[in-house]
Amino acid sequence: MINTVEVRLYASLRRYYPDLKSGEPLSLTLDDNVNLENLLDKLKVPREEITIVMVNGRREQGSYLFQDGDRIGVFPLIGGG
Amino acid sequence: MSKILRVNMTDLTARFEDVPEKYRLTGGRGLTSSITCDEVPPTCHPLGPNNKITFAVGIVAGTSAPTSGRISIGGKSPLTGTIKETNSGGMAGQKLARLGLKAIIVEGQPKEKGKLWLLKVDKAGAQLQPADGFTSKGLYETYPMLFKKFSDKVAIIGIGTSGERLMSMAGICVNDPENRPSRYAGRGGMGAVMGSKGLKAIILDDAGGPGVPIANKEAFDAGRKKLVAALREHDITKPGGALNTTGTATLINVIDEAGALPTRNFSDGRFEGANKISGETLKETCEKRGGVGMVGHSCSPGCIIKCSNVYPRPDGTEHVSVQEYESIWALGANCGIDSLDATGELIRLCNDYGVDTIEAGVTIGVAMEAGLAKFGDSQKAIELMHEIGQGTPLGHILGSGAAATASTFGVVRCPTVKGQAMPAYEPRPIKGIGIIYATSTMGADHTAGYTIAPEILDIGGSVDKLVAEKSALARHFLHATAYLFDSTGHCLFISFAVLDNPSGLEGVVEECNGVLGTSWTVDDVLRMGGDIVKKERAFNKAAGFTSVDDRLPEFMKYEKLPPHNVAFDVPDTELDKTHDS
Ligand code: SF4
Repeated sequence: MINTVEVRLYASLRRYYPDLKSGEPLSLTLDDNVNLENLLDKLKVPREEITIVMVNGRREQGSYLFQDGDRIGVFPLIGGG
Repeated sequence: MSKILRVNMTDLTARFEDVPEKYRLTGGRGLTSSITCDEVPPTCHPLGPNNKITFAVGIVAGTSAPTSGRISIGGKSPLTGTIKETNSGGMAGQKLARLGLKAIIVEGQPKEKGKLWLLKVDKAGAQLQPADGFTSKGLYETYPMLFKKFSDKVAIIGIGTSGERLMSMAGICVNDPENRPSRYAGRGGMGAVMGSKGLKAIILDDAGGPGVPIANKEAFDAGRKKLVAALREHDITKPGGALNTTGTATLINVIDEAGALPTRNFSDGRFEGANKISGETLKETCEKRGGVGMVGHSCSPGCIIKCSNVYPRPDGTEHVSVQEYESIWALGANCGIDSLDATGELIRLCNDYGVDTIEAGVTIGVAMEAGLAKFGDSQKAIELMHEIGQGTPLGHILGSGAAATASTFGVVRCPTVKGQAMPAYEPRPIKGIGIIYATSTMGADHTAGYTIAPEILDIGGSVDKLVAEKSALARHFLHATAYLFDSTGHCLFISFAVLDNPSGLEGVVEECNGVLGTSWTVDDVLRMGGDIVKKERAFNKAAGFTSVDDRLPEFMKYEKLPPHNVAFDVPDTELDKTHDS
C-alpha cells in the first residue's frame, strides 16, 4: 500500500522549501512501513529546529504509521498571545 | 515615598494620600483588586456612583526591569458584573510610576450628566479640566489634539465614543511610544466605567518626577540580569525569536493546525483561510509592501521581546498598529474573514471608537450567526462597526457585547462566560484553557492563566486521563499569573521564558525584592497570587456569583467541534475543584 499525505511547514521552517507557495502543503507518497520518525528524517529541515509535530491536529509519537490522507503540521518553537 | 492619588468626580477634587501599609507590598492587579474589595460594594451598579475605577502600576514598573511597562485598571465590570482587572502596555505604566504614584483611584460621579473631564497629573499636582472640544470624535483625531495641547511627551489613558456612551465593550486606550492610540486595557467594559465617572482622559507628564525608589539595588540588579538572560535565551522571546519576528499571530497557523482555532462563531476548529491571516503572511506583507510596515515593534520602552507590528497599506503608508493574534482571530477567522487588510481596517475602527477587539469580533460573529451579515462579508462587518461608532440603536445593542447581542437576536451559540466573550482558543479541544475560562474571576479570559504553552503538546488528549492534571495545571497558572505578571507590571509574554527557566522566575521575584526590600521566595509569590484570586472570588460571591457561573456555555457540552469532534467534557465537579486547596 502507498499512502499520500500532506505536510505543512510553518513559521521559520518554510525557508527550507523556498519554492513552495505560502500555505501550500508538500504532497508526499509514502510506503506503508514509513513512520513519522522516518518522514521527519526525509525533510530538508534540520531535526533540532522541529519542536512540534501534529498529525491531524494531534501530537503523535515517532512510531506513528501513516494513513492515507493524513495531514501533518511541523512547527519550530512558537509562542503567542 | 509613593502616593495614591484619589480623584472625586462628585466634587471634582483630587488629593494625594499616603499608601496604607496594607498596600505597600503589592501592585498592579494585586492593588486594583485589593482596593476594589476594600472600597467598592460588590452589589453596586457598575456604572453608578458607588463603583470606583483604579489605575495601578506594577511593582517593578518605571524601573529598568525588562518588558515591564504594564498598567492595571480595575473595578467592577459592567460586562460581567464581576470584579475586573485588565491591563495594557504603552506609555502610561512607566510614567505613572515615575510620578511617584502607585495608583489613581477615581470615585463618585459628576452632577452634570454627560459632562466630561480631563485629569492632568504632573510633578506639581493634579487638576481636572473640562474636556470640551475633545469628545465625540474618533481617537485618531482626539489623541493628536491632546498631544498638541499637553506636549508629545505625555502619556494618555483615554476612552473613545463607546466609553462616552457607556457601552459594555468599551476599553481603555493607552498611547504607544509613537503616540498612536493603539494599546488597550480592553476587557470587561472598563471604558464604560471611566465614561460613567465623566473622565475622558488622564494625561500623565512625568517630567521631573521622583522616579521609583529601589530599596535593595543589589538584589534588583541581580534579578534583572537573570530575567534579561532568560528572555534573551529563549527561542520564543529572544531577539529574532518567534514573537519578535512574526508576532503573536504566529499562533494562527499553529492553533488552526491543532484544530482549535474558533471559526465562524465557534462552529469549527479549523479555518480554511487561516494562512491568509497568519503571522507568516503578516510578515511577508510588511516586507513586500515596505514603507512604514514593520514587525518587531515595541509597545513600550524597555521591552526586549518586541512582539508588536505596524501594518502597511498596499502603498506602504500606515494602516494600523497592531495586528495581533487575538484581534486578527476575533475579527478574522471568527467572522469567516480571510484578509489582513480587512482585519486591519476592523482593528483600526476598534482603536478609533475605543472598543475591545475580542469582544467586538465575537459580537460580530454572533451578529453574523443571527443573519445581520454573512460570514466572510468584511464590508458588512465594517458597517456593523460603524453602527457601534455612531451609537445607533443597533450599535448600542452590539456595543453591549456578545452576550447581549446573542440574547437580543435569539442566538444559542453564545461563546461567553460570565458575559465576557471567549478569546482565540477553543476550549473543547484545549480543555485546560476551558477550565481557565470557566473558573477565572474575570469571565472568559485567556490571560488569567495562559496554559496554552504546555497544552498545545497534548491537544485532543483523552480527558479521562488528563482531567485531574488539567485542573492542577489550571490552578497553578491562575495563581502564578495573578502575581508574577499581573501584579509586577511585567508583560504576560515573559511567561514563556520564566516558566521554562527557573532562573528567569527567580529573577522576577528578586526584582520585586529589590524594589520593595522584601525577601520573598518563588513559593511566597505563588501563594500571594492565590490570595489575590481568593479575594476576587469573595467579591464575586458577595456580588451574587456561585459555582453555577463557573461554567462554559451549554452548547459546548453537546455540540461536537470539528475536526476532532469533541465536546467540552470536563465534569462540573472538576471545575468546582479548581479553586479548592
Ligand atoms: S512583549 Fe509585546 S505586548 Fe509585551 S510589552 Fe513587549 S511589545 Fe508589548
